[in-house]
Amino acid sequence: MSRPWPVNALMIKDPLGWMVFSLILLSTWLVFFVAPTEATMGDVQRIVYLHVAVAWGGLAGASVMGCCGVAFLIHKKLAWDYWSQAAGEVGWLCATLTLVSGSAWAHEAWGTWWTWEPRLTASLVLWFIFAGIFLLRSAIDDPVRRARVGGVLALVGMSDIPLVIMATRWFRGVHPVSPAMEPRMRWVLLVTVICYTALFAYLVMRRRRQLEGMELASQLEASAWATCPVPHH
Amino acid sequence: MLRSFPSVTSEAAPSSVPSGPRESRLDGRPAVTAANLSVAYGRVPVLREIDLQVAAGECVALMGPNGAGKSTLLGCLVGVVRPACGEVSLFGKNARNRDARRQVGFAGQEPGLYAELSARENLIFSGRMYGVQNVNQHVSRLLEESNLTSAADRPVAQLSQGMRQRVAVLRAMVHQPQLVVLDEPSARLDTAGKQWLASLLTRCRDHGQTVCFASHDVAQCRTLADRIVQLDAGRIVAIDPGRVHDGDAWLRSA
Amino acid sequence: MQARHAVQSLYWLIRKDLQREMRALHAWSSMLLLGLVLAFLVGSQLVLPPEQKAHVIGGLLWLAIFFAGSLACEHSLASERDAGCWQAFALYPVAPSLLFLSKVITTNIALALLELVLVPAFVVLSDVPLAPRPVPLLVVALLGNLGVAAIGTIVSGLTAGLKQRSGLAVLLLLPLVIPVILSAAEATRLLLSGPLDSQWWTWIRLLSVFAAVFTVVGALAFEYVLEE
Repeated sequence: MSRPWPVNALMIKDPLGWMVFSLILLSTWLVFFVAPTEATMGDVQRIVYLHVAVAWGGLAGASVMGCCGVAFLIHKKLAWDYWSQAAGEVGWLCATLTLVSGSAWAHEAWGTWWTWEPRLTASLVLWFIFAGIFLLRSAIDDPVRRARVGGVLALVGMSDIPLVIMATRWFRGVHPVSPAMEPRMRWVLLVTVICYTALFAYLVMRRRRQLEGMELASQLEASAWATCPVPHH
Repeated sequence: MLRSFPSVTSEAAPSSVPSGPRESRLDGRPAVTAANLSVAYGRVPVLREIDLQVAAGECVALMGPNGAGKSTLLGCLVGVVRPACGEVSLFGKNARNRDARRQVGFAGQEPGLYAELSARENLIFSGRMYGVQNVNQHVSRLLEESNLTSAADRPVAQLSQGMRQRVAVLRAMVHQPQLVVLDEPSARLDTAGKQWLASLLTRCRDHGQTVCFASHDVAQCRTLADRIVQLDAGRIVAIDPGRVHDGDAWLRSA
Repeated sequence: MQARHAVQSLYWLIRKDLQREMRALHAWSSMLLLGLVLAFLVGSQLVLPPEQKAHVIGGLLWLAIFFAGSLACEHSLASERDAGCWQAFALYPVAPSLLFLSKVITTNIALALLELVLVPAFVVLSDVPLAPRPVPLLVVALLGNLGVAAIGTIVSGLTAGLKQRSGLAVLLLLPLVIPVILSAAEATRLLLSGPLDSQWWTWIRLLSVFAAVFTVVGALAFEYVLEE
């Protein structure tokens, strides 16, 4: 036990991580102490700041996943797949949080956990597509094949999302447009979104590095295994 | 353009007068060039930095223990396996090029036959995909020459393993490809079947077709191949001269 | 010459698939049977006054069609893999988009067959007037089939080599075709409840866009699907 806390040691030396951490602290402070309390809903309305941030993260994650997947198909470099998978995973996490936070907000605002409101429906479909892609990816061992399947599916999913959004928008009539906001609220929302975007980008970068490291490690392991001397030469 | 084969079942003696196309192998034009080929399945490397040239009209056998990479190398040559790095060119074109593919016939370890269709229908379908003219007569002739006429109209599912293997090899040759690639073609064949295969491959050579095949049968490789490439653990470990019988001694001296 | 060979190859590819299906009936017949079971279940559970029934029956019909049809979609390329013909299939000197198109057309034929059985079954078992407007219904069906077959062929190609493929294929396929299910269901509801208005055409437009987008995306991406 010469290095008892390797993880913590790594974190302390990670200035980018500290920066992101303080940004999140800043946005939390803004959300709870600077933004005015909404008149009708009270403090529950503060969910909206997080909700908008993660919803944006989910869409951005899906787009990055799609673009990097297509880039893999073109360039055949596994590095693109690491980006694609990392962005997809963070995007999926965001999509999950979007559903949860949206549902919590809806419970207070509309008195129900779930309605077939177009954006809710669309984000649920997006979540299903994400889930399907990751399920299929996890069934494939060969990293190149996994990347290729992921790339094709990312392309298919990316073409599907606009159609999902259109279909759900027309499905049950009207949808709420972005409501008028008090300027201070708007300003806090903007800062929150920026801070959380930094967090997502940081998570994606960390995850990508981890994926790359895992792949390198298993390659080393496999090649060490396979280069055992052949007996007769 | 179609060339009519002479009958396969009559033993085509190797000492018969060498016909015209045979000379083409001596012009040194490479049919297959594999350069610096490496392949990994998953994380396990299967081929490592293979360099191989096969001249037009040459017959090359691949030998080696199970898992040496024979099938993968053949797959790379025809373009079903994409190498991690390195390049394969067939007749000067990339192996994945569609015009290059037209010149290649491949029978892999799976027979590649539709079990619900008859042998004849399988061959005709494949011939049509490659744009063979008069495909019905051509396939009838092929089946007749291989003594398969009686089994030709039964579904492939009802054929014996050996019969299926023969049909699979014929399927790879139905469009008279310049390059014939066979993965263990004699694996499920009996003695008569191996003789049939030998005369078929001999005739391919006589017509100037390039042949690459994998095999575990040393005697067969010695009699059929111009060169025997020994693979082990994804590397070429030796290239032996093949074809020790006298009828072709003139070739090795050339 | 090139174009003629392409058209001929397309014809022979489709003919080959149909011949195989006719001789080994298991894939398409299990699809038809699943469809009929779903029609029975819907019919037996749907005890509603006629006007309410007309309101929900479109959605249930398309749900049954896509559920049963996903079997045919999954089968389209898995059949090549199971027969050990994947390599030969991928090596034919025809464009990958043509191979894709042949599978899409075969799957379309399967889905049309399914609908020929399911729509009468729904009419008989649930007693809804689907018959009075055959042409709009046909438009909805053809566009929906094309979109589903295109996505289904891609998904089938991606899952064909996997052990757990049948569950995965359906799981992937259904979320991706949700726009088709929604549009087809809404269009059917509208054509049952009144004259074809601009709202109906909106859904038809969405169905067409979906079919067009995924036929193009599939044709472009199929080269990567075929690789080992």
